[in-house]
Formats: sequence, C-alpha cells, structure tokens
Amino acid sequence: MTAIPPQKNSNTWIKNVIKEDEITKYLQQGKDFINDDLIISQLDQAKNPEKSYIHSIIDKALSIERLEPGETAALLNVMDQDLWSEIYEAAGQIKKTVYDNRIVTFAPLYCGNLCVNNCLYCGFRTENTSEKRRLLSIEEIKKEAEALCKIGHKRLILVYGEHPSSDADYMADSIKAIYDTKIPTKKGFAQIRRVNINAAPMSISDLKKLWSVGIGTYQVFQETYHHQTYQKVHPSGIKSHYQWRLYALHRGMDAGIDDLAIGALFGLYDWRFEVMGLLYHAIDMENHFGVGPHTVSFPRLTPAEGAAFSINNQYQVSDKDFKKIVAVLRLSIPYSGMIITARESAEVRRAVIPLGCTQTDASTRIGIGSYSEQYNQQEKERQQFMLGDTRSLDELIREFAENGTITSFCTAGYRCGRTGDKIMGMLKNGHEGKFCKLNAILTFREWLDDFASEETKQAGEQMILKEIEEAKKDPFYTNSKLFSILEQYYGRIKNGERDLFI
Amino acid sequence: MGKEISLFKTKAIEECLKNQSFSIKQKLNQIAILMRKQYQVKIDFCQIFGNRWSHFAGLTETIIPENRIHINEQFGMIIENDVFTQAQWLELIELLVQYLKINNRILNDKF
Repeated sequence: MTAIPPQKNSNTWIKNVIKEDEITKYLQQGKDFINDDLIISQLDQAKNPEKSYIHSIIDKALSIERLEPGETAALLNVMDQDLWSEIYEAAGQIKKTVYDNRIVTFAPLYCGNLCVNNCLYCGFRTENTSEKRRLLSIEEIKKEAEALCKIGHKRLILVYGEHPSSDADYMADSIKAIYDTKIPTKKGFAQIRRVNINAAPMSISDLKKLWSVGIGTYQVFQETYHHQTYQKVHPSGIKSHYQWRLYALHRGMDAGIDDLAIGALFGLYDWRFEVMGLLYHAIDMENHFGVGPHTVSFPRLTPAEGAAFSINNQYQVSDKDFKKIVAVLRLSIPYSGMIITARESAEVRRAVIPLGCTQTDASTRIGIGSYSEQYNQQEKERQQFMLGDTRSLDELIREFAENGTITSFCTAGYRCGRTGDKIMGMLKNGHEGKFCKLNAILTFREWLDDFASEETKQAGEQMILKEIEEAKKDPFYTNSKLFSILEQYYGRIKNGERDLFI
Repeated sequence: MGKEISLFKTKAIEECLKNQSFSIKQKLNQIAILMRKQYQVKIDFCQIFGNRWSHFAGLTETIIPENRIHINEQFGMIIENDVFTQAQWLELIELLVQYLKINNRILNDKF
C-alpha cells in the first residue's frame, strides 16, 4: 500500500488553485449562465402543456435539433402517460439516428481518495474519518490498467480526489503510464486506447498538461446547478466555489480539449431544475465555442459511508422520474452521448438504456486498487459510494447481444480528427452514427476473438452477422468506399491484426 | 499513383498562403477546399497530442480517414482519396513550412 504523501503544503496549494480571471472572462455582465429564478419561472410557466406543442417539440428533437429551455420545461411538465410513451419512443429513435444501435463500454479507475473538499454526500469528504485513504503510485496504476486490459477494456475514466498529491502533473503521469501499458492476448496485445478523466476543475495551464499527453474526454459534474443548494452541500474547500466549477469545461475548451463532458448528481435538488441546468450548460458551451458537450451524465445520489446526506434528503429521485430524466435529456441535447453507470441496478439499466444511453461501464470496481488486488466484495470504507450492478463485462455484453445491441470498443473518433465542431456536425447529420456501426463491428470482432466466453461469443457472432447484413444494404456504405473498407479490415482483424479503425 | 508534376505551387494555393488577412486556420481551410476542388482529395488538418488528433481545420463535409500523414509532431492530416505520392505530399508540406512556419517532417501512417 502506498503511504499517504505529506500534506504540509496543502494550504498553499489550495490558495493557488482558483484563478478568478479564468472565471470572470466567461461571465456575461458579471453573471453566470444559471439564473435560478428564470429556470424556476420557466418550469412554472410550462405547466399543463398542450399536446400539440409537445408533439412539435418531439418532432424538433427527432430532427436532431437542440431544444430551447422553454421546450425542455414543457417536456418536464408532461403529465399524460401516453405522451410520456411517445417521448420514450422518440428518445430511442434519436439515439438510433445519432449513434446507431451500439453501446460503448468503459471502466472507471479510481486513482485515489485523498480530497481537500467536504461534500456532504460523498464518502471521500475530508471529514469522513472512517474512509481508508490511499493514492495509487504510477506503478500501481499500471497494474490496474493491466488488470483492465485482461478483461478487454479499451476505454477508461480515471477518477481523482481534489488534492495536491493528485494534481495535474500526477494526472498527466497516470495517463501516460496507462497508454504505455500493454499485455499479451491470444492474438497480439491489448492496450487501453482512450483515457478519459473525471477530476476537479483546473486552470487552463494545468488542463494543457492533460491535453499534451492525449487526454480523451475531460469530465466535470456540476453536481447541482442550484446556487443555494450548491453552497449548502459544499460547505468548505475549493469545491465551495460554484463558478470555478461551472466554467471548468470552458477552460478545458480554451486549453484545447474539445471533448468535454457535463453532468449533475441527481438527488441534491429538484430533478427538473437540474435537467434545465444541464441544458443551459450545453447552450453556453455552444454560444462560447460552437461545440456542445461530448457526453452528459446523470448519476443519482447513492448511499455513501460517512455521508448522512446521501441517505436522507427530500430530493431523492424515484425510478419512474429517473426514466423521465434520461428521456428528456435525450430529446433536449440530441447530439450528446449519454452515460449510465453501474451506480444503477441491472433492472434500472435495462429500463433506461433503450431511452438513449450511449455508454456504460462493466466489471466495475470503485475501490482504490480494486482491479489488480482482486477483492470482489464492495468495501464501503474505500469506495466513494455503493454500486448497484457489479456484473462482468462478458455478462453485460452477452445480454446486450441477445437484446439486439452491439457493444463497441471504438476509440476511433479522437484519433482521426472527429472531435470538437467536426464531430458535432457529424452527430447532427447522422454520419457519426454510420461510422459508429462500422467501428462497433470491427472492435467487437476483436473483443470476441480475444476475451469472450464461449456463450458470449455465440451470441456475439449472431449480432455481428446481423450488423454486417444491415451495413450491406445501407447506401451510405455501399455508395462510398466504406463497405469495402469494412470488409477488408474485418478480414484483417479475423486474421489477427488489431486496432484497425475507420 | 499520383501525378509526378508540381501540384501545389498553383497560383491559388500560394495566394491563399500569402494572404495576410487570413489566420492559419482560415488558410488551412482554404487549402482543403482547393485540394478538394482540384484533385478530389479530402483533407482535415489536426493537432496531435499523444493519441489525440484534434480537428483543427479542413472541410465541413465528412471524411473517410483512409490515411494519416504527420506534418510534424504537432500537426497532421487526415486524408480521403489519397492520390498523391510521398514526394508530392512533401512538396505541400514544404509550402506549409515556408508560409506557416510548420516544421518539415513527414511520417506516412497508413491505417
């Protein structure tokens, strides 16, 4: 176990993190883009929406056009169950148009649980004395990456507490170490091909360090967009600065990272308000940079050790409302990827994935060092929260295949210029979904050959044949070189070549 | 196989590169458009950081990434319908170096 690094410079470090000029540059007339009173009045004014108005909003979303706040507020006020059924159906259609019938899998890798913040809902909070604190060394991170490679994961999200010991330099070193990790497989070697980061807000100069080592996506959740609630649940530490967090992704864009991910922790405040907050966040990113969020996350508050707020509060979201959140987000920001995680139970994941989710995790462990050290039970004193679904990647993939969803290990986009405004355009015109299908076929082929159990391989083979047949009939592929490239690459992968992408 | 003549020292490309009122991004956008019109070659220009090839300039239309060419360690091109020889690409890169101060180094990285 790695010793906790000395913290004698923590106070100096904390004082130097926030750069006020990297907040004020984005403000409009001194104000941030979340106007609490406006959002509350928009939600009030949208009560009892006309059926015809809801139909027009659904049509707009189906044309892959981002909704305006008043339209999202109307969706959030729908009471008619038949209309909700229509919204759910539209959400599934939008996902199919933009991303095809694939789902991308990833694994979270928690690098440490040292944290200077004191979020009332989080097991990592500094005042939680029952948490076993630990920061992985770079060698330990490599071991974690090796364990994840052995399962067949190609995409990780690294998670860090906010602490001087896990600063931007440490993050950059961990990204480099993971990209350098290789393990032998049946045919060739396995490697993590995309490293995303979930970390605290940083300055532009620190974000450039992450960019320079090839970060995938930079993800920061605002937790709650409601100013007053934000102050209440983040009473101290750097995280108590609402606007520093709110503009973290704007700074990411200015640092050159053009794949950025927003999210809210549902259950801290009214869920309808948070959906509106996420939409306003996407709109402000579009206004400043012409590029909206790469993904949207919508975790629900989950019980955490040493954080009573995570268990008892009035805003907890029911499963029924959770479905509404996912569907309304799908319609409101139709071009963004949507991430559902193993926080949720298998049953909930089955219910909401068809409503537009594009990414999910599997074989998930969130204890520090828990992949390489092979402990299987969840250990509440070294986790941020408790998981709802601990199924293996193999099990999940088999279930997806049996239900007509292909698992994708694609990491092509950010390696061939489909980033930022380029990918936004392709998501909106449906072209990215076409590339998704092909790269899903290629990467699924690899995974089946290298990692699948016999049972999963059988289900997967049928899935692949169906997908190739579909592609063969699609003029988008047959009228260009794409289908012949697919056939060529597919044959090469079957013969043992790896990491071919389109 | 591409043509073995000087492709890029055309008036249009040189004028584009010399244009003082264009930013680098605008110049590269223009070059991508000219290449598309004259040779049916599609190009996007990217900034490279590790695995990441971030879109920087190029065409608004979709490109099938058949080929990646490193201009240097920081910049690269994603190419569809690559009809040129390496010598011809070097010629373009020399022009980019001359006018845009991009270092001259080519690594052909076929998918």
